[in-house]
Amino acid sequence: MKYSISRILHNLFHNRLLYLFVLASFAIGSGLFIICMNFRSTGERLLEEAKIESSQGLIKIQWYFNGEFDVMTNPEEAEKERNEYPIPYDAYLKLVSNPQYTEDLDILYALNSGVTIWESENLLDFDLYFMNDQLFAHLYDTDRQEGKAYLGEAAYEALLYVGEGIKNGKEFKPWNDVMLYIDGDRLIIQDKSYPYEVIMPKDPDVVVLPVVAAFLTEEELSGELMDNYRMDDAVVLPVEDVFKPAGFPLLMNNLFLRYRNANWSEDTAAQVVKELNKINPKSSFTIENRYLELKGDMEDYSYDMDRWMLIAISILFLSGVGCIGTMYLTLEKRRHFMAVSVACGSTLKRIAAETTAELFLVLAAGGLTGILLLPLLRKLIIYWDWEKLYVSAGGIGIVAAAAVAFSLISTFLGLHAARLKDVAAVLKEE
Amino acid sequence: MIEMKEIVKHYGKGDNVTEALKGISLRIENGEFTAITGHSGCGKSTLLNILGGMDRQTKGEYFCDGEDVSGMSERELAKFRNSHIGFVFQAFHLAGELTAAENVALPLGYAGVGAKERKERAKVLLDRVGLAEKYKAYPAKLSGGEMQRVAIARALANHPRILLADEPTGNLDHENGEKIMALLRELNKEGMTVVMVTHDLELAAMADRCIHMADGSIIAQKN
Repeated sequence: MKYSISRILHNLFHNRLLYLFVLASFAIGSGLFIICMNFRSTGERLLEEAKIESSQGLIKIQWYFNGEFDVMTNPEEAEKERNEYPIPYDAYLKLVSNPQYTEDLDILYALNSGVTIWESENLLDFDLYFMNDQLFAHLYDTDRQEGKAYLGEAAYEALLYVGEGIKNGKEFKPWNDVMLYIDGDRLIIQDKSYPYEVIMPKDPDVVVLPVVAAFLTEEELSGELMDNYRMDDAVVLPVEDVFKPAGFPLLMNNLFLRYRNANWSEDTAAQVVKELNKINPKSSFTIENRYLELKGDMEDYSYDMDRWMLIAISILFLSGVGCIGTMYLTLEKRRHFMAVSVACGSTLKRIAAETTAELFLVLAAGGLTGILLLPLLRKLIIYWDWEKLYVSAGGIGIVAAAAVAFSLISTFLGLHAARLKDVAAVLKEE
Repeated sequence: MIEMKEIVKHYGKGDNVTEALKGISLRIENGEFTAITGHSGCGKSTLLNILGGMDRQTKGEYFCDGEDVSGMSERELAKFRNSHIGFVFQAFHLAGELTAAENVALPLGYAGVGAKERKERAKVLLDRVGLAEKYKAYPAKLSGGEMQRVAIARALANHPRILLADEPTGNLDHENGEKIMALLRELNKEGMTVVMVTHDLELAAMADRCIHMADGSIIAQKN
């Protein structure tokens, strides 16, 4: 064994230039290959995480207006046209009446408007929400009771003041032709009367209803302006009781989807979007969803990485060809020496094992070098900003298997080409 | 003692069979110097290869000091060659990238001898063949005669009982050839069994016994 090791090291040294070429090509090929495999395993992992996140969270429906009026040349008409095509109540009703969607999805929906009551020099503002049961449960973490109205803390105080003011003969003027106040244990709004309950969202961090946040910029969502959008001033009514306050051509609204179970399938959500696009042909509805965004990104990235994978496989293939060529050259040179070794007490099997080990050491060194080159290769070929690449054990395993296969095949072919089967005949040659 | 009984060697298959040896029987005593002569293709090198365990007979029995060589596995045969046999070839067959000492030490490595002992033994053997000063020389720096002496030293590495020489002076000039023959005679006098294949009848005459072959058979033996 020790002598075999010394023979292997001796041969490695005496063929170092050839082996350096084999090592370098295998290093580059295996490094690129492992990077590409790491990309795949990272992408799969990120997609899996996004899928879980998506299945647990809300999927927001985004809409884009395909109107006729250009906002630059005719901003008023463009704004009017745009506002005519959100997701109206009728569209929502069509969705919730279709069991194809409601079987897998919760459809969370609300319409929103602002209402103001004027008293002398004071303005009392309320946020009016017509909300379905699913969105209510998501926001307040409790089920809604049928026919009940829910008030934010500030809205309750203000409506109580209006109610008592009316009893005491004070004059209040509704800005939008909507009069609302508390009378005893009832909320009076327009010609309807509701039992009510004061409630705030369970999660203190949820200060803005998603349906409002959908229309806000990042700047508006940050800092001091957040206070303007707290649910303190909310008056939440059932979605079935929706009406338009005067002065508002339509209500702000938005729609969210949520999968009921872990069998997340983008198809059902895509069907909903398709339905909305059919209902509102002037709008383009899409799903804003991290999983789908990531999937789209992955498809873009995959084009580049498939190309690099092809390059990696080509280099590995060339490296394999290099191994065969190297073995052919070195074993042809060693032909007589190998025959003499047999005459001196070695066997062809031992020679084959030593030669295979010799080449495998070169390839193993190449593979390790490729792994050490990973950070550099990553900088060269990956242009997007993933925090890290998860290591694909499969990639390393395939490279190791390639090293073994190249060693065995090259040695076999090299020994075959060296025609060592008849050792005696080789020794007879000059 | 070497004993061969009815050794037959065929090459090829089916209709393309060549009979290299046709029922050779011979006996070589310990310490004998035997020359095997014959024209090219008579089977003398084939016989030598079978004697040295480098080739296997198709039929027949081969015993060496009571051991049945014909029944040995590849591994046992390799061990037999390593411990019992020393080979000397016409073309020397030294490894160009190894020094003279490293060439001599080759059989010692396969015998599992440690590095230090290999070096020391190689020195002793090179001294024995008169090449102590060429210890670190590479074959490219040696003359033909010196290379053959290194080859002989290599053949002696594991104290073999039998030295097999296939045309040992074939690539040497007359003067170097005589030196090699003198060395072989010296080794034989020390008790080594020497079997030499040669087409040179003058050299064959220096042996104790001469076996003449033709067409795969022994046609004459002369002491």
